[in-house]
Amino acid sequence: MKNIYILLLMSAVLFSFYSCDKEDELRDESVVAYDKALQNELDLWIYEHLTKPYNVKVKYKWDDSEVFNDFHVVPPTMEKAKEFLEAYLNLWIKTYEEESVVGGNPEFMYKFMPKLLVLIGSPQYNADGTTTLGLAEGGKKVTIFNVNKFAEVDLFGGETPEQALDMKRTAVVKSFHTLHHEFGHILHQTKFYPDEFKEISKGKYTGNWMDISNDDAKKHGFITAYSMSEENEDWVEIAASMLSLASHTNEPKLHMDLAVKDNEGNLTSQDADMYLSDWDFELHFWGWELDFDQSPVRWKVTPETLENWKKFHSKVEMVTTYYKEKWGIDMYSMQKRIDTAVTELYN
Amino acid sequence: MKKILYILLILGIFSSCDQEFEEVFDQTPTERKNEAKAELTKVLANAEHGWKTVMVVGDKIKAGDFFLFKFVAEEGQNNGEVTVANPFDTSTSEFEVRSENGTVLNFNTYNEVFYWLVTPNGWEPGGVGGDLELVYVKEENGKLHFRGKAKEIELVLEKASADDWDTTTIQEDFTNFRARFNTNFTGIRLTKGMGASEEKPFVAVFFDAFITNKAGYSEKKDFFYGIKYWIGEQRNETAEASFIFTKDGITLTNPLVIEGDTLSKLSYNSDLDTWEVANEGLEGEVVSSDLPIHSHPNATDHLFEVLKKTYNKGWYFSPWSASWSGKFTEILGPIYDGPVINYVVLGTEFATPEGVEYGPGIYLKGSVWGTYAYLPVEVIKNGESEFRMEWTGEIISDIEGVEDFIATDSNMQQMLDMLLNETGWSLALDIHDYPDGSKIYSYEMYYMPDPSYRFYGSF
Repeated sequence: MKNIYILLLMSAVLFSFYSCDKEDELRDESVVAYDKALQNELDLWIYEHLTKPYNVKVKYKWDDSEVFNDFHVVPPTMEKAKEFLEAYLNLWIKTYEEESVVGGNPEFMYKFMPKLLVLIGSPQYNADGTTTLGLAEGGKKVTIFNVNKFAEVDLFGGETPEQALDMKRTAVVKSFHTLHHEFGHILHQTKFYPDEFKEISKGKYTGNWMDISNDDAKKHGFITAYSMSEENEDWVEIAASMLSLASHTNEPKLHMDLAVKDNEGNLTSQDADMYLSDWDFELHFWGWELDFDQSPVRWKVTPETLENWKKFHSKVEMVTTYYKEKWGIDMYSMQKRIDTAVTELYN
Repeated sequence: MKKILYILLILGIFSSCDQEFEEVFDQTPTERKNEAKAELTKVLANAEHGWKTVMVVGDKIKAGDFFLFKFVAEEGQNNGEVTVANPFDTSTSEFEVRSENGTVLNFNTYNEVFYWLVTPNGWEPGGVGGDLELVYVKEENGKLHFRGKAKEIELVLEKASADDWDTTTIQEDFTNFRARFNTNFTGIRLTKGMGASEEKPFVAVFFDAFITNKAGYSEKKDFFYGIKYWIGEQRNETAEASFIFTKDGITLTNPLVIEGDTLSKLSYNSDLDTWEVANEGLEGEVVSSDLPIHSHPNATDHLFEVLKKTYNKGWYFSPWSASWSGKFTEILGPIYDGPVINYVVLGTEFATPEGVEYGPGIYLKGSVWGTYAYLPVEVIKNGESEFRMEWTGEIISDIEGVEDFIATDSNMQQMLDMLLNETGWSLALDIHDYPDGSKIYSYEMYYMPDPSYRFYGSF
C-alpha cells in the first residue's frame, strides 16, 4: 500500500512538470507605437539652449503624471513659458555656471542642476489657503508654478519708461526666488549644512508660519514668514532671498532720508540719503517699526529685534560660507552676476 | 495523506491542455489602443469645418461658452494643432490623443479661448469646472461624446458648418443685448408661466450683469450675471452664472426654475427689436428702464415704518457721497456748505420741544447745533412702490430767517421742488433676511421726472 502512495505521489510530481505551453511565434515588427511629439518653435529652442548643452528636459505641455492629482492646475501659455525659460537660462543657469567656474567647481551645474523642469501656468492652491509656487523632488525634478504670472508688474500709470523697466527687472529677479529655494534644498540634501545653524533660532520655528507676516518674521530673526516653518526652509529661504534681492547690486539705488544706524545697529536720530542694493536695503531696514512715543513719529528697532537681527546675520554668515566652501559659489558675487544678467536681458 | 493523493490524482485526470480558445479580437490590446487613437484623431481632423459645442460646467458657479474646434493632425501622428473659437475670439494651441483608461483627447497646451473654463484662481481653486483632458465615450448620430477625465463634465461635439465660423451675427446680438444694460434696471418680464399673467407679471431683475463677477474671472465680466426675483416679499437670487451667446440666441447657464417652469433661453426678435423668452410654455421679454421694473409689495409703507426705527427717525441725504446721493450731491453740497442748513432729511415723525407731534415731513437740520426746520408733508401712494409728497405749507422752525432761506436759496428751492414733485418717487427695495432674524432694507429712491437722480440708503 505504501508503494502505491509513493507511486501516486511520483505521478503527481511528474504531472506537475508537464507543460501546456505552446510557443507562439514573435512578430517581426513591434506592436508598440510611439507618437512623435509635436515640435514647435519653443520645443526647438528648448532643445538647442537647454537640453543639448545642459541635459535639461523641460515639460510645459500638459502631462498629468507630473503633478499631484489632488490639485487642479493648468499648463503655462507658450509666451510666458518662453519668457520664463529665457530668464531661467540667463539669470539662473549661466550665473551659477559662471560663478562655479570662477570658484573652481566647473562641474557644479552639470552635476546638480535639476534635470527635469516642469512648468505650470497656475499656482497650486492648497486647502489651508496658501499657494505652492515650487516643488523639488529627489534632486532631479523641480516644478515651478504660476508661470503665467511670471514677472508681472503692477504699474500705476505715472512711471517713466526707466522706472517701469526697473520694476520689471526687479520682478524678474524676484521671480527666481522659488527656483533658488528649491535648488537650495537639492544642495543641502547633497552636502549637509552645519548643525549649529539649527540652534540659532531654535524654539521659534512654527507650523503656523502662515499666520505671521513677513515684517513680524523679521523681528524674530527670519528673512520671510515661510522660513519660520523649519530649519531647512530657513536655510534655503536665506539663500534664495539673497539671490532674489539682487537688483541694484552693481549700481546701488538712492534711498532718501533713511535713518542712520550706529555701530551696534541701533537707529540714530540722524537721517541721510543712502545708495543701497535691494539686499542691503533689506538688511538696513530690518525689523523697523514706527515709534509713536516720539514726536514727530520716527522709526525704532527694539532691543529684542536687534538681538534677532544679529542672530540673522550669523545665519547669513553660515549660508554664505557654506556656499563658498562647499560649492565654490560666492553669494555676493552671484548677486552681481544676476544683476548684470537681468540688465542685459531686459534693456 | 491518502485523501490528498486521491484529490491530486483526480485533478490530474481531469486537467486539460486544451488550447482551442477562441480569439475574440484579431489584434493585440496595444494594436487596438493604437487603432482607437488613430481613429479618433482621424474623425476629429477629417471634419471639413471642424466641430462645435455648447459647454456648460460648474457647480457653485455655472459657466459656459459656445466653442468651435478645428483639429489639424500631424501626418501619421495622433497630435497636432487645434484652433478653438468662441463668438468673440480665436486661439490656436496643441492637442494630442492618447491612451489611458480609454482614448483621451488632451488639450495639452494653453488655449486662450478654451482654458478660461479650466484655469483655477483664488476664488475657484479647482477651476470653474472645465477639464483639459476628455475621455472619448462614444459616437452617436454623428456626434462625439466625451466625459471629463478629472471633472464630471460632458462634452458633445457636433459637426460644424462653414457658416458656424462666421460669428458676426452673434457679436451683433451681443452688442444689442449689452446695450439693454445701459439703463438703471434690466430684467425679464414674464406674462405667462411661473404663475405670471398679463395683469400680474413676474419680473426677475439682473444684478451685477456686465459689471463684475465674484468668481474671479475678471476678463470675462461681460459674460456673467445674477438674477434676483421675489416670491411675494421674499427676495431670492440665483448663483452667479454666465451667458452663452450662440446663433440661436442666449442661454442662461443657471436656469431659473419656478413652479415647474424653466427660464433659460432668450432669442432676438429683429422685427420688434426685443429679446424674447424662448422657453416652451413661457411668454415674456427682456425689459430695461431707468426706473425700477419690479414693484415691491408695500415698499412705500415699509420705508416710513423702517425710518421710524432709525436713530434719527429719518433718511439723511448725504451731501458728499456719490454712491449714496448720486447727482443730488451737486445740490446738497452747496446747501451743507452754507450758513443756514446742514442736512436735508426725509423725516417720518417730529415732535417740537413743546411736545407738538407731526407726521412725515422734510427735516432741515440747522447749521447751528440743535436748530431745525420741519416741513410737514402728506405722503400720497401712487402704487406699492411709488409715492409723492405734498407740503402742508407749514414751517416749524427755531432757525431765524429760515423762511427767507427756503424762499430764496436756489439749491434749497431746487431740492424742495424735486422732493415735492408732482410725479413722485419710485422705490427699488431689497430686503435681506439674516439668520438671526434681523432684516436689512436696501432702498433706492428714484426721482421719476429724471431717474438719473437717485438716493440710496440701507436701514
